[in-house]
Amino acid sequence: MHLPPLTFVTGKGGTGKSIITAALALNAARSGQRTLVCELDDHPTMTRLFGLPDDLGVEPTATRDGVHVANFRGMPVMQAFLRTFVPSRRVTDLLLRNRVATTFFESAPGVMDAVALDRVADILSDGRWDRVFVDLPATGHALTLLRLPASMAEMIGVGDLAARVRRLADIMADPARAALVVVTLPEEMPVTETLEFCSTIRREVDIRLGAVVVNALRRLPLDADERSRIDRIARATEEAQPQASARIRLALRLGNFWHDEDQRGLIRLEEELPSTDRITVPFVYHKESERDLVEQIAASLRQREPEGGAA
Amino acid sequence: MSNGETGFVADVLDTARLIVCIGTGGVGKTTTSAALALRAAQRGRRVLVMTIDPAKRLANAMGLEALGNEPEAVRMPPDTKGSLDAMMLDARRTFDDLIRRTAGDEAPSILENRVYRLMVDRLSGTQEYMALERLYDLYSSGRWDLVVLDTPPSTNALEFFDAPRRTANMFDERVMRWFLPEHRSDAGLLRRVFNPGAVVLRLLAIVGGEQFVSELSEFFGALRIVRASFEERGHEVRRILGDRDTRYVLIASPDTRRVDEALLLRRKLAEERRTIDLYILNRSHHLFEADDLERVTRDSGTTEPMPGAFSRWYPRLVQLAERDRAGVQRLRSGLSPRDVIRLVPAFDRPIHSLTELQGIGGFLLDEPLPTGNDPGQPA
Repeated sequence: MHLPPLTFVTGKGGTGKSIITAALALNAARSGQRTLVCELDDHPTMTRLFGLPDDLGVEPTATRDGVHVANFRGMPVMQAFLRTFVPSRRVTDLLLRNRVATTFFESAPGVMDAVALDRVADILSDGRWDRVFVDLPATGHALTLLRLPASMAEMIGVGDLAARVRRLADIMADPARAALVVVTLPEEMPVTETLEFCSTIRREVDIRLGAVVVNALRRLPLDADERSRIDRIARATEEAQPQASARIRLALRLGNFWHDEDQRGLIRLEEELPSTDRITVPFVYHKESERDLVEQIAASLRQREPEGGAA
Repeated sequence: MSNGETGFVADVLDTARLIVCIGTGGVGKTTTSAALALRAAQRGRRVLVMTIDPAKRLANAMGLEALGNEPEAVRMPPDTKGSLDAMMLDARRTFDDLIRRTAGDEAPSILENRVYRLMVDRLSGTQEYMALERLYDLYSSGRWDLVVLDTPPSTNALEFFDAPRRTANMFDERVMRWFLPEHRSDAGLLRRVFNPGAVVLRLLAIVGGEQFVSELSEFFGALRIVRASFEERGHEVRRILGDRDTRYVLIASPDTRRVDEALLLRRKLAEERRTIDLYILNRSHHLFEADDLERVTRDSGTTEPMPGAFSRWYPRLVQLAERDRAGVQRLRSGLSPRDVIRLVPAFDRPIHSLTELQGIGGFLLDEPLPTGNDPGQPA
């Protein structure tokens, strides 16, 4: 998968977008790229995946894998942002110690999002990083965030902030500099939502759709003949082994259902997003830890060439 | 399965006035909410299920074209004693309606204010605010005995409970005052005392331009009028959420990460003196055993070989089963013995109609699991 310097990753809740982000970053770092993952979440997950303490700051922190991680949420990011407009540290400190002011920043919708995105643009321009991955929130909130530069540009026509917002909108619109990766499961509902999300993005946000990662693909390719043979064998032991027999038949139904549903999902993605790379990641049946899951997925992402679509 | 637990779930469905379903996304929260609502209706109650998720397939399974902002009756089997209505929250419509109802003559200018349009349409948090606003209306209408609320899919369900407080904060009198004209006139930077409002306004003017500040000012000025209503609502909603007839159902899966999230949520809620009444673990694969394949092939008496793909796959399914049994144990050992866990096995078919939804209710309520032991019970 060819990714530009700035990659936004999102996906419906429960599709494994943070794990995929971590695996992509791990592969980038291991191929020698200076790699940073930015989280925009009050409840960080990268810290857990990379074994760092939870109270990660605005400044990128090195992990033992070479990936750097930073969290662009909360008042420290606001502090850094305010400092670009108000040189006096005393004034910004006073402001951030004021309960009414922090209440306003935290509760006025979009304020913290805008500040976090502004920080991403800063990070990108400082030349320290070859690859920056932004672990966006789940699709609903991510859409809000990705639209923000354009909506703010519309709302704020002039001034320094307008220039800063436009700077990010320009980066996002440049296919050589930024792309969006959408993580989905091959199941019916996530695929439907992913297709809706992608079409909204195409309509409303000026950013290249880099790839759709189809996570946790379950494959059990049995033909009709094999399916009925398994059923026959299980039924033959219905009396001697009633419970095992019932479980084998349940497993057969599950396996067939999963396989067929996932294949249907892949076909829908292929038909409706013909020019977007699809990268499939097999379902992981056994993991020692979350960290082990990242390793397994990183390994399958390394092996896998995009299935169809334009490179 | 002990009758105590079955009786408990039935009791929740029979007596609660509000059931709040919480949990992270991707664990079948919406489907479970619908299954609980269906069962309660079949037990004779007038039930409304309110979802945030635009799940078209679920709407179809309930025999509806799509779900809208107004409750719509679900066609139930003929012998049903109660009734079921379903709806999907439209945050924007709800917010607009609220403004129209409370702002009187000011309503048109608020609805046209650019800051409002952008805020309601594109900025985050609105869903949670509006879910609670709509909930209040429907809950207090008297049309339903029970409302089942499927909360917005957020990474952290705590955000949902925090919504009334954040809503109230947003319309904090002190914040709003910054933007009112009489205050702006003396908004010189750092007058005698430190005035954060003046600093914020000045900053906004520098970074956003005067035009932006005047629109913001207009927006807050107008919203001041609806604030009283917001505050009253916030207060009422907090009361409903804390009512003893409001029950909390946590929906997760037996995956370690989900279980840990569930336990964390339990602790956080306990700090706010909220308790979770029922834990539902979806997508469970706990049934499969390591020697199933061997037992079946050994005793089948046929010479037909088991297809290789299946023989290789089954042990992996057993690994999932072991993971899930461990996950259930992990949850069990983090709870008090009185807490109730129900397991719902992974679906082996799509949810096409009320029949499948009813089947899920069976796992939650009164039908024993088809095979295997039940690790949902304390050892």
